[in-house]
Amino acid sequence: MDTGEMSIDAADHSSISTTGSIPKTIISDSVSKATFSFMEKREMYRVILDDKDCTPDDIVNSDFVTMEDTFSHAAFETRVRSRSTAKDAGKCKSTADTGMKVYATTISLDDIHIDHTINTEVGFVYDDVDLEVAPSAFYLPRTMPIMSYPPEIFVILKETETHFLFELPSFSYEKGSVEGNAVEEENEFYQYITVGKGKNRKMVNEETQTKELVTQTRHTLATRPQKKNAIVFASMWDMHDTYAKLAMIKPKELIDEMVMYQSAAPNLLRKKKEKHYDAQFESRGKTFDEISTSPQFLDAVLLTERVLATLEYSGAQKKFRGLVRINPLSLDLVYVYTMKPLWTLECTDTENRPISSISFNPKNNNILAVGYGKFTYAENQTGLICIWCTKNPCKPERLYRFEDPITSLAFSDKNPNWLACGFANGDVLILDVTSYPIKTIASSKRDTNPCFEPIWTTNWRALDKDNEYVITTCQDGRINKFTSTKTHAFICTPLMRISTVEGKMKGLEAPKQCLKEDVPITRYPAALCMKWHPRIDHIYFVGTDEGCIHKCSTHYLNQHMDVFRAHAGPVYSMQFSPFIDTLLVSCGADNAIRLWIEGMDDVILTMNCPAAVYDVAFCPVSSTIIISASGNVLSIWDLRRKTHMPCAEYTFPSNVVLTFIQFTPSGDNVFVGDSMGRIHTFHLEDTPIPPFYQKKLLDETIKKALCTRPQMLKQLEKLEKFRQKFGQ
Amino acid sequence: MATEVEETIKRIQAHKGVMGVVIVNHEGIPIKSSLDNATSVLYAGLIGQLTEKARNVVREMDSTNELSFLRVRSRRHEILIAPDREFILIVIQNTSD
Repeated sequence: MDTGEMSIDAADHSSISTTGSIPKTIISDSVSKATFSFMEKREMYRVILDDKDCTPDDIVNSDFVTMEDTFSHAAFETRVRSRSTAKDAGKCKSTADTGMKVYATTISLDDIHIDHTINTEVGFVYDDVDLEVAPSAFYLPRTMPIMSYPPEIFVILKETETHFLFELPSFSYEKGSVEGNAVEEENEFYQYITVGKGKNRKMVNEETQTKELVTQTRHTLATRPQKKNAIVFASMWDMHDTYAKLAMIKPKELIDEMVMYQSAAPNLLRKKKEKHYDAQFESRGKTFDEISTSPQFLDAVLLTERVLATLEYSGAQKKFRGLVRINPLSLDLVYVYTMKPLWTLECTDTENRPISSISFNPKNNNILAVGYGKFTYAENQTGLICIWCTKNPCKPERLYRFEDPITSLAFSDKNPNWLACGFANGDVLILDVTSYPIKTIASSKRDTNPCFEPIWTTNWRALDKDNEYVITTCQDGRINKFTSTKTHAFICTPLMRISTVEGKMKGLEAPKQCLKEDVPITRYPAALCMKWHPRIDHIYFVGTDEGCIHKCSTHYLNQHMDVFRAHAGPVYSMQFSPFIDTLLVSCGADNAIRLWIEGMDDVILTMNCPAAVYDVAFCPVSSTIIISASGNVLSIWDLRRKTHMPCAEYTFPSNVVLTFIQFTPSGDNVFVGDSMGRIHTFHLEDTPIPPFYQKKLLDETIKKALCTRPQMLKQLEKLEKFRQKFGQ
Repeated sequence: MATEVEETIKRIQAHKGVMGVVIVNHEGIPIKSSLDNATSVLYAGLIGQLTEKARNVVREMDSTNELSFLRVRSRRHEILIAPDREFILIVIQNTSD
């Protein structure tokens, strides 16, 4: 509607302008003549200095027309003035201004044509935004009109305070008062100097002159400021926030001295820090450099990168989370145990750094902490801890650099943002992973922690409901317990020290060792892996680099409870089966994986691999599937089908060594870490459907494996009956 | 420190499908952008208003909650908005290929 009207107006204006332009030019000539006559006189004089023309320029530049020349009442103006758009605003204005001329001579009234439809707002920029009329949030309360008058109306008159409207002080004083006397004196003096003898005074006439001040009138033209409608929105919560912030501004208090109580909680012993809100920082606009280093910006970048990574990895992510399900009733199922690669967690910082340890966050199992250390003894590497999220495989979300290689990591269960790290130089550190720079909660000190050799395992264990402590095993055979005390020291107390076992042991048949000289040296083997007993709280198993597995208890600080030889080389990893509590699988450097049952001395089953087996894992959903990493080969064993060879084998390209393997709790995905700093994620497909009676199946499988050793079978049955009877 | 941050922005831009990155400060002025000025100012103004509304929505539902991320998906692109008190990070991504 609006634009339609505008166009009609424009057509009208154009017709008018053509008729109006002719008389204008004649008048303008007369005007210009008048101005030139004034300037001509001045033009005659020229200032020449040293043969150079130094005539000062005209103060009034002919390009810029002065206000007096250009002023004209809009009623006389017949020029077209259309609605200008934002782009042409500047241009329109200048042409309109220069077009105006002064009508110095008489004009007949017939020539004046006032068009009321002309828009007299020159240069006004209309916003094309059509602002909606919003219903008013406020309304006046309805007042009922007076229908009848009350029978009595009370009128109360009150005296207000006095307002002085005019004050005329008196100039006459009483005769005899102090002021009166002063006035009389003054009057006498006045009489004396004007009429009396004081009239004859020596006087001198002096001329003065006020300095002449040369003035010059100047006219300027201010441009109309551009205005545009803007929308502002303030919600109830913005107001609430503002008032909350104002309430927080407190005057600065003096810092309290450290207060000591008899038996206080640890946080009372610290100096009181108060929160002092600094209002002046809020008003200053922050530059990019300041914002970019703040943790909120880094968090925002983190979220954005996760979302961006989803675009590329969306198919893989869907498979990972199990959104793509296989149909168990489909007719073309083949049990080939395929591993579909999903993605690889690697970046430029982690290249060629062997992975030494991985720990999954107990609260959010999409987050994993990876420690990068060294693989061979002679390597010289710095340590690196990366926190990865499976939602963003391109870049780790936190990166912490250390000087010493990391050897083990563990997330805490009670505080899922605490990560305990063991280093190759014997240090133990607790990090808070919520911060971007390195933030240590506690760090072990030399005076309580005697270890200087690599810490091979780190574990958290709950003391009681609230407290936890860290248990570490070291290369020198020590098993230490680290606790945080009230004074925030991280104290190390020894739990046990593993010592070499001499003589014949149960378990694996070892070749007979040659006679040794009786040298009284106690040797301590390195404790490479540690696992807590699934049912009994105080018992734990430790695997050493001599191939023995020791069963120890927290009640006995000097001795182990039991020991058996598991491997002919170092034991690299042990796992308990999630379905049968007494079944233990161990893997070692003698290329073998062995199954043991607690309470039986001989090995149940041996599985041979091509190279030293670094890690082994049970599948959490299928009781008979075991997966192992040896050399560059990933093997999948299914005990119920065959035990002499793996059901599927996957060889990795190049000569990487796989050092870590773990299932996700859903049982479909496998994380594999290698010695080149890469973590591959695979999706396991085409496996047999997990059985309903998992425990029964595993039982049967083990009994089948023992079918060639009837004594063992009998022993197993007896053990089972005993356990059933006494409810162990 | 500054180069690390520059590298962060470059990394975002190097992702597949990213058409532009704009960082707006709390006054609504784009302080860093990979698009031309007019487009940046347009994005800054419009998305600022949207963020205010969205923040209000989340807060009205549950007063202890706060808005952490916003995705606006359209036929041709997707706009990822990460708002904060001090700044707004806007990434425009092409999702159609």
